[in-house]
Amino acid sequence: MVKMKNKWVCVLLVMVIAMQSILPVSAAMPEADATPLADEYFKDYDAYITNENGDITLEFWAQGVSTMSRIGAAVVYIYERADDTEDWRTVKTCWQQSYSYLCGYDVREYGSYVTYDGIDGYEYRGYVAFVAENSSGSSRTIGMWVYP
Amino acid sequence: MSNMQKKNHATHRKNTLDERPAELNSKASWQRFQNLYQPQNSDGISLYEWSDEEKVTVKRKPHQYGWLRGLVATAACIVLLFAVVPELQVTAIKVWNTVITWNDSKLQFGQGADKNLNLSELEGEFPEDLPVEYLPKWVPEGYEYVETTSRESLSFKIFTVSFYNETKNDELFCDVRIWKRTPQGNYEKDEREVEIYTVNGVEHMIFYNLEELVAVWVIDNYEMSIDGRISKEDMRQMIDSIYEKGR
Repeated sequence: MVKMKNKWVCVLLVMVIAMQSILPVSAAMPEADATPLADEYFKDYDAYITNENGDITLEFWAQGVSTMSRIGAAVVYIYERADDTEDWRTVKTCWQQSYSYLCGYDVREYGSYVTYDGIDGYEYRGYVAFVAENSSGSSRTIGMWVYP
Repeated sequence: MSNMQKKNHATHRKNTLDERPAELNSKASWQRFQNLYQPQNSDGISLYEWSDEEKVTVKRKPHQYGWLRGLVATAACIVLLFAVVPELQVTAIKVWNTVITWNDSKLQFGQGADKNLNLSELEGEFPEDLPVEYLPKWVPEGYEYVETTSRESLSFKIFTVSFYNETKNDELFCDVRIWKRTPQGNYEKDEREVEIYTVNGVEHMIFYNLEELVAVWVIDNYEMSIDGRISKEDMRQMIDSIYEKGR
C-alpha cells in the first residue's frame, strides 16, 4: 500500500513538472510582467513578425486606456538561428533611448516596426517589451514573444 | 510439590534450565521452533508476512480496473492544475473566421491564423474616410464628440473617434482598424466573464478591463472596439445603434 502511494505521488510530481514546463516561460522574459490580470494602462497590444526570403519585419502596436504620456515599445529584440539544433542568438536590439520611433508621446495609440536583413532559410523570432506611462509618471512594462 | 512435578512445570524456569541436556541440539531446536511458532502452508511457505521475503512468491492479483483508476487520477490531477493555474483556464470559440480565446487576463484572436502580408483580396490603399457604417449612432447621455484621429501602419489603418463627458470627467473611444492581413488582437481583461452579444449575426465580445468596459468585434478585415467607463446596458445600446436603420 505504501508503495502504491509512493507511485501516485511520483506520477503527480511528474505531471506538475511537465505542466510547469509547458507554461509561458516568464522567467526567460527580460524585464516583463508576464501575466498581469487586467491593466489600468493598456487596452490592447500585439505584434507579429514576417520573413520574406530573409527580409525580417517585426511590427508592433499598443493602445492605452486613455491618452498616455508615453506608449509603445521600450525595447525590441530579434533572434536568429539556422535550424532547431542551434540556440537562438540576438541579432538586433533596439532600445527606445536610441530608437525614438519605438514610442509615441501624448497619444492613446501607437505602433511602429523594426526590420532586419536576415538570411533566407533561417528561423527568426522577436521579443517586444511594451511600455505605457501615464501623466503622473507611473509606467507599466509587459513583455511578449513574437513568433512567425 | 514433588521434584517430578517441578520438572514438568513449564513456567518453572530455574528447574528447566537446570535440567537441560549437556549438549544443545540446535537443529532440533530450530525445527521445534518452526513447528510451534512459524507454521507453514502446504507449499512450505510461512503464513507470517515477516518470514524471509525471498522465499515468498505471493502473486498479487491485478486490479480489475487499474487502468480506470489511473485515468481518474490523471484527470483529477489535470483538473487540479487547471483550477490553480489561471493561464490554463482558457475558453475558445470560433467566430469571425478565426479562433477567439480568453482567460482571466487576456482576450486574443487571430493568433496562428494566416498572417501573410499583402493578402490579395486586401491589397490596395487604405480608405481615406472614416467607415461610419461600423460606428455607433448613439452614445450615452453626457458624452460629447471631441475628435476623429487616424494612424496608418504597415498592416492596418486605425480610426479613433473620441467622446468626453465633462460631468464625469471621462472619455469614451470607438476604434476601427482596417487590416491588410488577418485581424489579430490581444486585449487586456480581468477575471470577469466575457459576454457574447450577438446583433445582426455579428458576435460582439463584451468584457471588463478593471474599470473599463470593452466591446470588440470583427467583420471581414475590419476590427472594431468601444471602450469606456460605461454600463453594460449602455454598451449594448451603442452596439444596437450600429445596425439600426433610420437613426
